[in-house]
Amino acid sequence: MPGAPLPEGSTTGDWIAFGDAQTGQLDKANDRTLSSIGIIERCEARDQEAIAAAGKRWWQFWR
Amino acid sequence: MSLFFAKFASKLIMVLAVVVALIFGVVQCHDPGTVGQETRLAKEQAGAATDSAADAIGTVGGLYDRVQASDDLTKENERAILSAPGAGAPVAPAVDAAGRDSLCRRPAYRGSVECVQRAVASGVAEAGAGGAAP
Repeated sequence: MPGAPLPEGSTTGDWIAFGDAQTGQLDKANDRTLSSIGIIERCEARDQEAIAAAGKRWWQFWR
Repeated sequence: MSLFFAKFASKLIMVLAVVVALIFGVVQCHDPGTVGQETRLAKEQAGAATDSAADAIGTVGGLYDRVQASDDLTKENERAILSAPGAGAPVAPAVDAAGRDSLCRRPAYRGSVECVQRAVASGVAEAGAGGAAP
């Protein structure tokens, strides 16, 4: 995720707006990381469930 | 007679052991339970892979929506900040320069046009400020 564009001007407002934009970029980066980890974790859980379901015999109703 | 019987019995046991071992091996190789289990595993994993693909597509779709929402909020915030009284107050040039130099030392900005220009300008200034040639 790229950083926010550097402040165009040199006023207080420009620098504060830059700080806010940078926080927006951080939010996006964090969201992307959490989403990626979530996809992988759920995928691994499904795979484990598939393995468990395939190994289950008809009489093992409690598993 | 008993010696003959003992030899015969030992040979018979050996042959039976080999036959039993062979039958056991063949049965293990063609165990319908194992084959069925592999088929079930392939089917379950295929279903899981389909679900994971749908999950990934849905998650990425949601991610793009949130990115758009975040960018919209950034624009809205920028308008609010720049229109607030005092937003046009100048930052002291030395502080502004120090802030930009600091950001240019970060990998995120190192290759940006402004940082490269600042680095070149700084190099030129340093070369110009050098002492007299010996």
